[in-house]
Amino acid sequence: MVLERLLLLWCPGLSVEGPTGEEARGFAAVLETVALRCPFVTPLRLGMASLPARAPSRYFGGEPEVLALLSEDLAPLLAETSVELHLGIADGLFAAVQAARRDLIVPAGDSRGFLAPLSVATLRRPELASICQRLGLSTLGSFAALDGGRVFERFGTEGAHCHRVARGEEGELVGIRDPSITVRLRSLDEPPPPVTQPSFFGGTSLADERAARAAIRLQRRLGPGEVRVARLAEGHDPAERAALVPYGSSETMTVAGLGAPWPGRLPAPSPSSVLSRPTKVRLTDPAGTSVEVTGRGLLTAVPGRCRIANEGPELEIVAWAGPWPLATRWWDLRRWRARLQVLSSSGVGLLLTAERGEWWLEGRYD
Amino acid sequence: MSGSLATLLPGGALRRGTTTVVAGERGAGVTSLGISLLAEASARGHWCAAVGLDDPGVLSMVELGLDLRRVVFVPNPRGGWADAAGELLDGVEIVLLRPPARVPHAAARRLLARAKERRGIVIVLTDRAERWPIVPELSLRLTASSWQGVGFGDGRLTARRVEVLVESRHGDDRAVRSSVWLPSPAGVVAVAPPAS
Repeated sequence: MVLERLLLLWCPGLSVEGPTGEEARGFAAVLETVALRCPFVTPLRLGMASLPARAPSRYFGGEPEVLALLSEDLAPLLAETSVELHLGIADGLFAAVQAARRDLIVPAGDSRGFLAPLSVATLRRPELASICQRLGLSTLGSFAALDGGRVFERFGTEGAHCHRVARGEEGELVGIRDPSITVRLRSLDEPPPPVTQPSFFGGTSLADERAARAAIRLQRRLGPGEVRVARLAEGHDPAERAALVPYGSSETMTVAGLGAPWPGRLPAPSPSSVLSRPTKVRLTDPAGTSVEVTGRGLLTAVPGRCRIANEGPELEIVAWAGPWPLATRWWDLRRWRARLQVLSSSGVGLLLTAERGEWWLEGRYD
Repeated sequence: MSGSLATLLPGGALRRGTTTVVAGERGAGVTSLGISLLAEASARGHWCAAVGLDDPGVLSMVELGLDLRRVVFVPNPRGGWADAAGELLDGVEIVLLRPPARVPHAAARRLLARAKERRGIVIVLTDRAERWPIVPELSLRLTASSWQGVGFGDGRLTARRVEVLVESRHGDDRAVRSSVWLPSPAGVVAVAPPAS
């Protein structure tokens, strides 16, 4: 099987989203610039994009020539923000990502040989990597040399997929794309949300100054981390999306993008308390059998009772909603999770999360 | 207070220099009602503080209308909650406070004196009203909470109606029963017409 020859572009400085959305805008500008040269660029996730290499390299007279042109096109834009640019070309997306990390052009047909000495950890499957390490298989090459049938038996479909990627039989490693990236970039076309940061204690009015003075005084007495202000960010978890940061820290605050459609986002109302350290919960059916979530996102039994660790009496569950599997992002390393809302006979609403066979209390609807 | 909770409150607003206790079991909606009261003040440009809310659902606060640009949080004041709240009253108009289970009378009295002096408003969140050792000007007891929208594995929590017993020290001493949407099916906090 012949894998598509891909050019990969990676800007590490734009790959982690900050609270201001600056990275997403910067990345959108990079894509626009690249598209002026090669129109088929596809964003994979924030800071990373790919494009078919064959046509442009034929047109511009070779693969190194294409990379040189793109570097030149992007230089002024990236110099402004001092963001680094990495470019690579290889067969298949996985090899292209590894090539870009090393600023390499891997000759056509050489991808398997190029991947062989790389660490199994590049597959971003920590469990698989740790088992391989214990078996003495530290490189992709040694993993690729295993028999496909045995890999499937030992590691399942996920492992078999990684195995084919390591062998260069499949080009794209599942999880490399962030499915929300196009939505996120599209939402940039909408009018920019008001960024409210400077007015925060900015001394714009007498009341602001008074509040700032009181906050600073208290912070001096209690310690910098004890007096906090809110910051909202995008993410799946209420806990991830809203954070309190120490007052006066350089983290800016924005109420931007709350309306943006996020896969896996739970609609309002959100839990009024979000546990910074989730508590273990025992969830059973009315007869006392544990309730679990299957790999297909179904409950194994009807929720009937729920006991929160270190907390009063067992709650009787009268209604529930979900489970909603959480589409994890690629850097979550395939942590599979699901959410469940439960309602007790006393009218208490709870948000539970299932992860690795355990239930956790994530939030309360108080 | 011109907002959606005005009809819940005697005189239509929280009065400066006074204390309001919002009481109810965990899960009854105490936090949401407290935040909603704070939200109406913040929407009018007043500075607020939240003291002792150790795991605040910041997103929920936004949904309830709180303007986070004007809120200072002191999530874990520990034993210093009364002093922290009192000090903040120098800079903010309204303090939302969840004190520890045992409240020393002296600490509460000191805080109330400061609130009177600064003409600030204190809202105390507690599981039982008696835990606050001084009779407040206004108490809102959440006696029942019923969620809508969730079934047996389908739907989701969408709307909640809570029953509130409102008692005012300055009123005619009669407790008034009210229903409040926290939030309504349309996602807003509002006083509901009495349950039939």
